[in-house]
Amino acid sequence: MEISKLSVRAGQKTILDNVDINIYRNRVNTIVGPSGGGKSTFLKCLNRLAELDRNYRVTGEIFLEGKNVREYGEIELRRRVGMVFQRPNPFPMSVYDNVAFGLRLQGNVKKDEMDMMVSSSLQEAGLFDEVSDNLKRPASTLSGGQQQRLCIARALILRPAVLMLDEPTSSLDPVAKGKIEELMLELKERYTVVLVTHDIGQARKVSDYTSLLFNGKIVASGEGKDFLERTSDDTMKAFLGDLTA
Amino acid sequence: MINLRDHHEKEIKWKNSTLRNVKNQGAKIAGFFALLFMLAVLVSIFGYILHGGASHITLRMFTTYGNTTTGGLLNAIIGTWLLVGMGLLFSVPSGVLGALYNVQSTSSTRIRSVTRLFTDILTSVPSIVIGLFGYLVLVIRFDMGFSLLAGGIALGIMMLPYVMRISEISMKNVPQEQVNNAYALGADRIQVASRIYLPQARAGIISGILLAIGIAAGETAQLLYTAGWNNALPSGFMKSQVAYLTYVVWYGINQPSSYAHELAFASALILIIMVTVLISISKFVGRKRV
Amino acid sequence: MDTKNKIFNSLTMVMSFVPLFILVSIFVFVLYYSFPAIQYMGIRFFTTYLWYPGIESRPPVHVNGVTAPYASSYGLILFLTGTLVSSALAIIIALPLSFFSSIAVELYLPSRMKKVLISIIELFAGIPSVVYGLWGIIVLEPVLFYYIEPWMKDNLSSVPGFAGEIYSGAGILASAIILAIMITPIIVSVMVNSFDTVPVEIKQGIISLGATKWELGKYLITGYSRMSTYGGTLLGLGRALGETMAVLMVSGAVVNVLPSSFYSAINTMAAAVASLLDSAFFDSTGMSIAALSELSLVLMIISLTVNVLGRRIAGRGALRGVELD
Repeated sequence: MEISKLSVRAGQKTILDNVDINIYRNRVNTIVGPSGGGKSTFLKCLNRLAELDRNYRVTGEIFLEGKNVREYGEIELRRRVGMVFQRPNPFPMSVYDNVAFGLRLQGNVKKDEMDMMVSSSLQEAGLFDEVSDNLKRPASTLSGGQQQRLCIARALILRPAVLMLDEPTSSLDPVAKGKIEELMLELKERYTVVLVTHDIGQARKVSDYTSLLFNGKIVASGEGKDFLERTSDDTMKAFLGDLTA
Repeated sequence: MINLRDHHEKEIKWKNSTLRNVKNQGAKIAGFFALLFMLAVLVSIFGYILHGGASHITLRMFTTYGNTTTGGLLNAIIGTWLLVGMGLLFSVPSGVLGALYNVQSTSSTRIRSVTRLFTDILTSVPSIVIGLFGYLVLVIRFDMGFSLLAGGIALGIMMLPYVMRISEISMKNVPQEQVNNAYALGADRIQVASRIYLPQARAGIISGILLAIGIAAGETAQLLYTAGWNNALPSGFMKSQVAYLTYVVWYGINQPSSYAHELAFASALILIIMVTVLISISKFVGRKRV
Repeated sequence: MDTKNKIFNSLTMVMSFVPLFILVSIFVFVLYYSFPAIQYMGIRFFTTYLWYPGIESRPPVHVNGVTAPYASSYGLILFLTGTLVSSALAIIIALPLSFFSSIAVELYLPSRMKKVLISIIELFAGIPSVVYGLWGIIVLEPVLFYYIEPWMKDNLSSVPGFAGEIYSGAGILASAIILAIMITPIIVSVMVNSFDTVPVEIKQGIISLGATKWELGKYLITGYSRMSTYGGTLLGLGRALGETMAVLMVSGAVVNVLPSSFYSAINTMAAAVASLLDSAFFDSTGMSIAALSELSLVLMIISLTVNVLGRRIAGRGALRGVELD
């Protein structure tokens, strides 16, 4: 994906200001930055969720596989760009129905095919072994970390090109967090991952390309896990200093 | 083990997104039409009543008594307020004190949840059943006759749950620390009720009372067989019938006289303004509290 | 506690029981006054549609220890049919109106308009029943009689219920439409309130899977908020079953003639009690009043059951647009 001159304004306030980023295929692309810096809004622009808020004015171009996202219908775009939210948001239904939800919405799939797709999506999200004994259990009975992986499976069943994760571990305990970080490394083999986080440690662990989003602007970006250390950018240093101090 | 490869290589037959978008647009249009229809009905109701009422209403209707086909509406206007006032006498003490018990009592919450449930259920007793009850018990058994007392109590039965439940809700919004502090300072129940709950929840209680008045003023079925009709004002609380506005609407529109129709429209106009204003003030007062 | 406070405590406690006391007395008294009719008609009360005050010039009859006018008959079938058919039809009209209105308010309109529309819809709650009835007589009945019913008769006569004589605008259709207009605001208010309690994460989650707003709305109505859908519908139904004056004015208030089409005049249980009670005063045996009491008893049982279920399922009460809990 290529994003150029993306700006979002809400009234007088500028949330994103001329953001230019490339999202690389089969990599973990990470956006780091302090809370309130526009990271979530950035993700919501990629699947055009931001447009739903009538206060937001979105300008600029976003290309997915060479085609402007505005040229995709919303339905099709959101099929290709999956999203996982900050807080696990399982729907109040069974594990199976949660995962199947998107495909029932979007596809004409027979029962046995659906079973297979649900299972393989759960497996990709690393949850299958933990829930395979009873897929009919309510999703609310799962732990927080399991719920978040369920939400990942729910997004994966549509076989998106891009999987966006909006601070996926911020509400989880360290063990669950570790599992999701490992999962991201596996997922990038088959998907393009866009990760938004304010957790520098997480970026160090999983990121291939990192950008720092500060007050709506991209102030630094670069390749590699040690980019954060190598950086000579003052804002980035100040941000890292803030976090480590 | 399931082969992940299947998941990625299998072609999925996607639903037709154009069709889904068309359905979405269809739902949007249906939604606008549904809202538009309801708004049109509302405008039609208010429009016909306001226009029909305003073009026929005369000052004389406010100054003379009438009998639904001739004369004015003064007896019906005063009668409506007398009945509502009687309903208030019956429902406000019981409603407010009962609400105080529900927030103050430390005894079993199960009993209170039962009384609360029955208070809610009382609002859904069909108004004509309250009317029949009023006729059988108040008018006949207690020998009140068609009267202010019987009609007022029948209205009060309907008003009571509104007063009690809305008072209770606004009393619940009183910060518990204030109540605890007062008790800690040695205040007793009466003092906590009169110095904390009643003043703090005043707006909410008034809002509940106004709503009850507004709804009661528009009721008919409770009054048909408890209040009756009177071409003048009632001469006492018992055994003297009372006129009221909703009766003029119901009875007048079924009369073959055009003046009766005019009176019906005028009454409907007065009613709809009175009720809407009372309910709006009630909402406004209630909102200020929060 | 000192004496003063004890008295205060007991007084407030007694007051909190007043609604319960009233409800129980209504039930007990109405049941008590129904006894003669229960004795006289027995099961026939539920099987015949004839409601006939009897012949006054003949001596009254004595049956099962009670006295009734000669040849009198009291059956609820006609009124029960009227109540059920008009309420069911009202629900059929009100549900799509409510669903589409509440989805439009919630999903398709800017949130600024939402507040305005909700307060406009709340205006319906303040319209007295008789005013609905008045509007029904002067606007709805002529529209039905001159335009809609002839059109239906011409175009839908192959559908059962749509063929038949049109006598006046008053009848089943008019009653159902008036009731639908009265209950739609109730259902809309319950639904919109329940949509507001859906976490934004759930709504965004569904949209991010590629759902259209209509698909989201469908899921809210039939999935996430389905309890409110059922509850709101039952609360609306409860209102329709018990509604008296508006239906009395537009139903045609017929007795002893079963409806043959949607254009036929009817009578409902509530309207029948209101319209038949004054003539019942003249029945020296008191049997007519007893029969009307029995009718009220049945009406109350049906109406309260539906309302209590509605409250339970919707998880809260709604007193004419006022939220509880």
